[in-house]
Amino acid sequence: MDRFNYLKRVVAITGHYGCGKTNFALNLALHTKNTEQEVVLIDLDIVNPYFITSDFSEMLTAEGVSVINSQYANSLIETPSVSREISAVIRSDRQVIIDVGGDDVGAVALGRFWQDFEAVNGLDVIYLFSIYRPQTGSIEDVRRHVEAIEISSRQKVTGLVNSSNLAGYTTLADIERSEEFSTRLSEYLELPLIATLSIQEISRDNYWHISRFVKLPWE
Amino acid sequence: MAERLLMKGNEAVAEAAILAGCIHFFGYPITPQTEVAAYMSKRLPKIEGGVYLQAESEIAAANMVLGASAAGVRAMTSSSSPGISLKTECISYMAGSDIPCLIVNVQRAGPGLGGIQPSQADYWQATRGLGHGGAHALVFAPSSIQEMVDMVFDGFELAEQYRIPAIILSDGLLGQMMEPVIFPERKPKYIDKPWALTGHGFKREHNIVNSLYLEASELEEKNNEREQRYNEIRRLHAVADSYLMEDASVAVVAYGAAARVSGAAIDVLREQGVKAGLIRPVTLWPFPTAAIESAAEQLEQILVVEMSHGQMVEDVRLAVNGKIPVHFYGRNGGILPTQQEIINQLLELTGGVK
Repeated sequence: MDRFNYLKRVVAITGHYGCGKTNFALNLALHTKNTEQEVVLIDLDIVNPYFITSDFSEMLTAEGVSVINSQYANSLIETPSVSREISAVIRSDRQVIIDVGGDDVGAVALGRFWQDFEAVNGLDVIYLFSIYRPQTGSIEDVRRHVEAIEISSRQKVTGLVNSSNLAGYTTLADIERSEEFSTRLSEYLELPLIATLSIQEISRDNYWHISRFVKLPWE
Repeated sequence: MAERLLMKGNEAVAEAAILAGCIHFFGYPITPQTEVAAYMSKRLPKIEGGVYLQAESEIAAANMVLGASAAGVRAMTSSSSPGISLKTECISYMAGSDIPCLIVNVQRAGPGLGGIQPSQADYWQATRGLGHGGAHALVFAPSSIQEMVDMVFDGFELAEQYRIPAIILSDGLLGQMMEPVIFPERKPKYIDKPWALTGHGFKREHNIVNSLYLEASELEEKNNEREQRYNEIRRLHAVADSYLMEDASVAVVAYGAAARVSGAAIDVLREQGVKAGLIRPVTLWPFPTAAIESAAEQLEQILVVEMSHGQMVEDVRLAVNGKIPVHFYGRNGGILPTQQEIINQLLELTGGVK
């Protein structure tokens, strides 16, 4: 059974910066591609040009996933711009995964496309969280953060993904420790917990297994 | 909150400063440093007495640090390379006024506006060129986020002990990357500041914080006294870390992110039987001259790896003093040397696996 099957054709991934959005977006794009649908991954991360989807364009294209990057290049300023292709892709019949920038600041860019989302019967907005990130370590912190993202993105969060990890240092115990929090969060926000992520090596059957693409240069 | 957190370098350095008793931050946004200020802007208003202020410019922010530090509190600013250039006038004033503070430079590639990717091209600036007049600051070069956290405590404490500015020389990669970090249960050590402008209350003479000395003899005396403090720092606080050096015949000398890549390259070469080691300067000023000088006794050659066209390599050559060849490899403009490039360099120097 595919736990992501029920999601709408357009899925946006939001969360605190540094909680693993880009790595999850890459995995979700490749996973969706495996179901033989045409997939477009949109990098809407306008906050910061480090560790972003664009770094993986070559790999994704080789795997048959189309990529739309925010445009840092071709520009002499540090302000990235969003591509004009995005509206057309949202209104197409392709599977769309949007990697949104961190926090409410990054989510502003998503709000820009509200008319496109209305025209295609809406989208699902996933909120990724990690108990190992400061500022999203309590239920109240997360609630405030989700609210801020909803306001600036003009969209409602529709599902949660537990991304509690410590990069290459994650142990099974680290993930298990996050589960009680996940369950409480899901009940409190009345949002479904779609998945708990783990890399294959430390997996348990009920987790969604991901690959670690976003790594440090010496890993 | 879990005790082990996954944090960006930029966030961790900010949180560490708060734990080290610094609740006065003055800054201005610039990529790839902005998260330091953003983190402070969220945390400091929640702390009693906490001040976060986004100044109108880097110059203003640095002068606010001078003012706050002169009043005796722990104060901090952060920026990235072009912004540090703007601050250097004030850093010289702070050095000349014997004002401690902490400055974080999340280096990006230059010169000029350069780029927004990581670089180590501010080595000369940090160790030689922090404004005019021959001033120094303590320069710490973290190579992991945990180390960056620990250095914040050392930075404030040594800065106050010796009454000089301290710099954490980070870079875009260390600032943006994430690693697990544990914040130490270390109580900040406060040093008495009888010189601080805290109000004389008619109980003592006025304190004066100033860097202007129109009488040449007075200025020479002041500078000589400061130089004695610099010499004590050179003698006591130069730190280098070494890795697999016991039997090494070739060593890489690298700091910060370049040391992380170099360490990974050395691991690969060791498996192939190449006797390579790593000397990692932890402080850049004072430079760990003695550690490199003594390592040169056992080594056949040294490779310096930097994310620049070669700056620290000059200090390494001065330390080695011609005893053995000192080679250089670097990438610049925002590009990191790769593990494979360093492996190739070392294989070429050592003539391959022996």
